[in-house]
Amino acid sequence: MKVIAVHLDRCTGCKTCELYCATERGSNGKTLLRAVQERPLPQARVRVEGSNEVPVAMQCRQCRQAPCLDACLTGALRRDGESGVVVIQENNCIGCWTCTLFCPYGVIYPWPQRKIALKCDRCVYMEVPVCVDVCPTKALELIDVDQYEDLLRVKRAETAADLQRKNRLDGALLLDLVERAGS
Amino acid sequence: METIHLKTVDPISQELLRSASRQGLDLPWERFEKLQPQDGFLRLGLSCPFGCLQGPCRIDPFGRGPAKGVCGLAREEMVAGLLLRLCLQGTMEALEAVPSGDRPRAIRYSRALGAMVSQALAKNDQHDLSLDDIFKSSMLLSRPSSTYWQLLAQALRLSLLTLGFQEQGALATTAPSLPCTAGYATLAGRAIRIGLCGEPSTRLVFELGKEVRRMTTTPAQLVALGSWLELDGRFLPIACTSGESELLVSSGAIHLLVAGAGTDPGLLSLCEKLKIPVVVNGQDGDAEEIVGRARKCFESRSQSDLFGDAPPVPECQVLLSASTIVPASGWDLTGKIGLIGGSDTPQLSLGKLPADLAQALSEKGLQLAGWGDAALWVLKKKSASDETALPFLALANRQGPLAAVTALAGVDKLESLQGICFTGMKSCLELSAALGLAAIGCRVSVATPLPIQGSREVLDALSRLLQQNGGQLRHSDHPADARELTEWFTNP
Repeated sequence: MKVIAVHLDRCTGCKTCELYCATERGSNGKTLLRAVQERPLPQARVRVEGSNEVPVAMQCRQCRQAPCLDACLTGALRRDGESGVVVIQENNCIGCWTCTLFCPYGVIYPWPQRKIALKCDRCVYMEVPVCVDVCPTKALELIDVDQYEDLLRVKRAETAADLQRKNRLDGALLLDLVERAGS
Repeated sequence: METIHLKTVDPISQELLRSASRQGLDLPWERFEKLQPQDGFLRLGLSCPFGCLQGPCRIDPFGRGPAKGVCGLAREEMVAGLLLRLCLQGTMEALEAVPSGDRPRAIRYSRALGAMVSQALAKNDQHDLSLDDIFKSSMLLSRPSSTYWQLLAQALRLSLLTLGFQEQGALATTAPSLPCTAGYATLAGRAIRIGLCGEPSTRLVFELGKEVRRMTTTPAQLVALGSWLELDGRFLPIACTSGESELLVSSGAIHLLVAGAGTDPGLLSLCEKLKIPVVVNGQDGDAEEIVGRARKCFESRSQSDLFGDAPPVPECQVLLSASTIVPASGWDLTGKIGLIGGSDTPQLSLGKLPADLAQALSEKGLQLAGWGDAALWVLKKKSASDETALPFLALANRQGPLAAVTALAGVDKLESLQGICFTGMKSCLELSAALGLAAIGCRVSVATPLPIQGSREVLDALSRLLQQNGGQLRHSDHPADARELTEWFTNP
């Protein structure tokens, strides 16, 4: 299953992902300059949160055990068999927004004007999600969850190299902690 | 490369693009692609333009994020403030073109333009214009303390001021017209070529002209890269449009670049990469030494006649002043007239819109004149096809359509003018002039989106202000094509 990953070190908080998500997925006009004239205003499925220091683009994590699926009373939320992505069938959504309360990340949004809930479906019918496509710093990336192990391996190797470079000082501290815990 | 026709319609430019791609050179089109999508807040005018360091602030166009800046500024004032800032920049550019000894405190308009400006001011209940308007606009933009109506009204005043400066900054010549040649055919044959870009000093152009004429063993040539520069009673040959400048330099056909004011940094970087000597504005040096550097570059490179097969463009006469346009044009003033012009833009395939629009309007019976890159494209198209009958008059780039408008107003035939279309915009001067023309009652269309779409209220208010004097500024949320612009021209 593919999900959208966020490189925290690359996100500048520019909100380009928000603008173009709303335009591509929420508007009829499909261009930014048209979308801003539409009513109700198109809404984005990704939100940039955090501070200037640590901005982060947040969207649905497509949880493997998604609480929103259990919470949905009408079956409007379902998992797409092929992609594994949790999608919302707007026709079945009654706007009770129970799912928005159950989402542990707070990334399912009520859309009162249209009386539905709004969530990222990773632009499952597009080759690349629009937020990934437009991100000017490539902070958003589409990755396969099976790649997690590869990514973690790289991260472990980087950490090991970093410890070596610092003459194992951090490592010594860790050992010290272990010894203390043991005693 | 399969999208090459989306970059330019000129077959030689397309060939040069392929060559540049093989060399791995970064040209404006590649940079434009890498910039996509461009900053959405700026494109909408929702990034605060005021001179303030509390921000940067911006407003969420979709209503879930911030609706106001730190100071409480709302979206209407933000959008109107940006328009004022752009107009202020345009006015300063127009003022820069006025000879410094000729800058009065009160603006001197020609009789025809003065009457139109007075009427525009009277309709909006405004007092006379002066240079103080520039100062006042700067102060309005220091902190947000005005309503969007006030900001828009001030932007309109500046745009009228721009027209005045444009008129005063017209070429100081008594000739009714100057001859001009254009296109890649001007580069046929072997020669040391010095390319002039932007607005180099007239003294340097004159000195270089003298020096080039002295060259006998190897011929030397001054060519303009998208600029309209006068020398010895004619315009320098314009080898390419402004949008093609980097493309031409990438071909190696230019042996030294004189970078006048307004030259793009990308052109300078390209010259550095290709080891083409550059003379930067203000560091003119000695003309003999400059030509010597060009010769050295010429001799160090293998020379091939890249442009020997380029279709020749017939020499045209560029009409210069309002007083001579009507008699020199041969226009039937009972018929319809359309003006098209403006700069190249990477948002549209270079040359496509001007050439298609001129053709379509001509077929609809409009008499046409144009300026800037758009005019060059229409002239180039005339040579490339057999449609030499396409009647088209070239106007001096510095005044753009203004000279034609005042000429028609001078003979009380402004109603013949169906519209003025800017097929692309590069500088704020063009925006300010377009707004000024709409403010004096003309129908003006801009083919590319303006960064003021973020507020419907501001767009409506601007339309209403212009309508008070019968003017219109048409622009839309997408780059326009020839069909919709033809429709706009022919259905007032």
